[in-house]
Amino acid sequence: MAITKMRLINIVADVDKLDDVLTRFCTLDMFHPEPASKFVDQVKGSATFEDANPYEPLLQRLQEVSTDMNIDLTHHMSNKTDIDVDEIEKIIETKYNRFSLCKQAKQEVEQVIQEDKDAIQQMINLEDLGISLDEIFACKYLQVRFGRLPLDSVEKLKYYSGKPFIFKSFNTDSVYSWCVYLTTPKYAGEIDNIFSSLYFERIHIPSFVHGTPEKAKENMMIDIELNQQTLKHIDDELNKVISECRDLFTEYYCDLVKFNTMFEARKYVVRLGERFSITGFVVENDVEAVKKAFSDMKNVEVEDRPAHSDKRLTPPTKLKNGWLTRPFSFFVEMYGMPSYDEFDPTPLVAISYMLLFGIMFGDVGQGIVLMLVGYFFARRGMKLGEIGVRIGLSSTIFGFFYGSVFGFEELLNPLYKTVFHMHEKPIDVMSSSFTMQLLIGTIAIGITLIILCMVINIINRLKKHDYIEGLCSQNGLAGLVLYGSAIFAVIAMMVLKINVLNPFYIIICFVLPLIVIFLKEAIASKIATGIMFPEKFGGYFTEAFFEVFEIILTFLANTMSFLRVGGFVLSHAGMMLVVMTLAEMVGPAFGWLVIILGNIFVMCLEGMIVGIQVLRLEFYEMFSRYFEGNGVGFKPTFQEV
Amino acid sequence: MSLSANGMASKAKAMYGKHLSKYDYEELLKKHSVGEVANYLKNNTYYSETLKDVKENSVHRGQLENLLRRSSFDRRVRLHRYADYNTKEFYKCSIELAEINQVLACIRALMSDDYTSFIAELPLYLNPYTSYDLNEFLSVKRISDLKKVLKSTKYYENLNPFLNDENMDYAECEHALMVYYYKHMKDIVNKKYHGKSKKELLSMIDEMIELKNISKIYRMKKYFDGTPEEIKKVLLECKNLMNKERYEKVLNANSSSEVVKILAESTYNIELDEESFLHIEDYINRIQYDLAKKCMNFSTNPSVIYLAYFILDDIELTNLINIVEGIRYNVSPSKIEQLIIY
Repeated sequence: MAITKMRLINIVADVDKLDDVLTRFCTLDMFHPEPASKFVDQVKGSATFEDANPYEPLLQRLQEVSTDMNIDLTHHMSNKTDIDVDEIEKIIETKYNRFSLCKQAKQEVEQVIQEDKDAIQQMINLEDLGISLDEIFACKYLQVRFGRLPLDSVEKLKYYSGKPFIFKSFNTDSVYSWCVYLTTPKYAGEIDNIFSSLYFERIHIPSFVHGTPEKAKENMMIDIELNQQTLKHIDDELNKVISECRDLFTEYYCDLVKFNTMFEARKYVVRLGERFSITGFVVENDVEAVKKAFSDMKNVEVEDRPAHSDKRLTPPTKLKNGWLTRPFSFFVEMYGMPSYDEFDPTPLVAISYMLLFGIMFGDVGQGIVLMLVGYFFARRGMKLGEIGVRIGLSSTIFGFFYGSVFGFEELLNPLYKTVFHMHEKPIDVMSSSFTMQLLIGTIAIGITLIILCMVINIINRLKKHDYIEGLCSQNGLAGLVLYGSAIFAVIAMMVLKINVLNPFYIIICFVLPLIVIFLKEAIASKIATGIMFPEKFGGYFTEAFFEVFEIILTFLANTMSFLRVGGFVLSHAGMMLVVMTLAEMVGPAFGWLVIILGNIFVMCLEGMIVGIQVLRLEFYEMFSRYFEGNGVGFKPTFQEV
Repeated sequence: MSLSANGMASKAKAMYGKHLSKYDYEELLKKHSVGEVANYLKNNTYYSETLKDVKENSVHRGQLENLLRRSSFDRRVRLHRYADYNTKEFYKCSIELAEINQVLACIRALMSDDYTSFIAELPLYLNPYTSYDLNEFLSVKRISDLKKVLKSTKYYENLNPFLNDENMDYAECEHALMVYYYKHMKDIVNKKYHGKSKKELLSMIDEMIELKNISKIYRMKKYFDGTPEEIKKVLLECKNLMNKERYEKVLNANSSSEVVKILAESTYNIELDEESFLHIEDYINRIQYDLAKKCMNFSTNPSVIYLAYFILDDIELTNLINIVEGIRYNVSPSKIEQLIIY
């Protein structure tokens, strides 16, 4: 359970071997490359490869065309060593043009069908009139317009009440009125203009339609049917085009992805005259595999050096954890990635999270349910699901201590009597005598965790040779002595009844550490620049004084913060007590329903709150003391290619 | 504050969450016809319900714009349902603004002899909410008819001195109505709100007024060479959020370029390039958009959130109308894009 050891790899070869090396390089799914820009500015005579990428625009175009044609492009490895971009582009455009023509034809036919349907709607309106359409359209002194008008606009016709037209509405829906207006040829232009300004949508009756509205309807139904057959033919043609293109475009896609990736990989290549190099990090165990990948290529050197051998580069971090603790890296990475030399907090987070969650959410039944739910989601790839399994296990274990199974406090009593020869459960949460012990216990856990975090911080800092932070800060040795001494004094006075607060103790354990913390910045400044107080002492004193004051309060607050653990134990038990009381009140007929729903409610609400509260304790009370999280994650660039 | 008022804040934020995104605007700018725009809005955005009966092939530009305006109005009215009983009057100010805009549109139509366009765009869907019957506009042929329509309304007293059949000054009419509107809004806020809520709301209203004033000052300087006295007559009264000294400098500036220079150093940080395509109103709208978005994201006052939503919704509507009209009249997408605020 640590951070995986890395090695710095440098691949060097002649420029004429660039494409071959990049082809091989793009197959490496364990290589974390460093961009060339990190080296180019600092090495004279070096350069990057900055040609325009010919593959990316075509790849984008292919993706656009495929989306339009509803083709899902699936990716697999391409074996091609070369492709003709112009030829591919020509084929794609030809196929797409054919598709576009079919699509346009389809839209036109659909429009005709829609117009016929609208016309049929009008014919339905005219059915009762018993007039032949031929007679309507043959009128010499009347112009007839069928269509639909927005209902708002029907109201507005009052403004034109003096104009020469007759308006008749047949029926209305929520937005439109299906209607007709009549006018004379002389005024047709003006009236058409008025109705157009009111957003009248004219419905043209096709010229092939004759006879009565019923006959017209029949004719248009036939026309619709014919058009739908045409539509079917067009659809068949479209499907044919699409199926022809599916495999072809998928092949082009794979090729273009490969060549685009290779071209993009040039951003990691540093040109050094006639040679080039690619630098990056590889997990120690994979170094041989990288060397083997290039072993058959002549004049390609693979240099293997320690991770820190190049001061310009920060080794990336890959966390390595066991089955139990691995899912908790999700929380760690949420805060930040540990740097390569930093302590991996994942195991500590795993153990403390499980412990605190188990204490606050102890119930055998609910713990088992949480495990099952967590397992269900873990199977679907959710990291939180995996965490759920582990914290569910912890809840179950603590549930055995509390003797609680879905809120039933007496269910496990026979087990305690027969197996453990105990009169009752080990811990009765709701007992008034237990409350004080619970709160003191949670404070004790908090103190232990805080001290542990400070110790980790000291070790971390000393490893990095950051002696000022390691020794003089509030989370360093000075802070540890201050905090530890205060805790010891309290324990000594309250438990052992010994007063340790003599002047010697106070000076060594309180005053001296406080002075060191107070002067931390000044000491750092003295070591770095030779001047202890670069700005005046007055300003330094004011600032440092309030900082020290804040540090003392923070110690107190952080310690008291762990009281919430005890609070949630009581609240969980209290909520289950309420559920049981309600179940009793409801009676045996529906009591079981109340118990089930109550448990679900408590699991969801309390589970979520407890999870968030423990995370808060982890991040705020613990991480802030020892974890910086400024690392860079290990990202093998070509993992998904 | 009642619980339902807090409900308004949540509802407004939820509705704002559905507003068009940068991606939607980019897609709309690629369209070549009004029908394509209607099709995109119908199938990909929350306007699907509003446009469900629209036929993309034959929809008229004006009709599409009317439907979008109606959708915007319906959304705002939906929020009124959550209003506190005490503060309902404040939310009704948005209806008042719609009424005032119709009166002004009617005056413009009468003055320009283009009443048919006004009739086509007359939003009769407002009728259930307005204090006068919009159908009465259908019988207006001249200013004196308009006076009869407005006689029983609250706008008559302020507007009557400026309504003449001859030599009517539209700017005076607009000024009179806007003075009434903002004064009425502020009176409601002063009466019905207290403490921090009142302060926040008044500050927001003053910001809106001040931005309008800045636009007027700029236009008067650029197009009319207005003197400070002439400009002061058309400004709306507000508590200046800009430094008073700077405000005086702006009023006394010799040219519109000088106005821009002074405003660049103000709270609003206006850096308008006078050669660019953008008009001052576009720039002012951008500032208003940023201020409203900030209130929407950070305020907890339901009335402030409502006002912010009102502004943001109005800007989205303006964006869509700019896109529809730009496409309809073959303006290049790059030029349309300059007008879009998001």
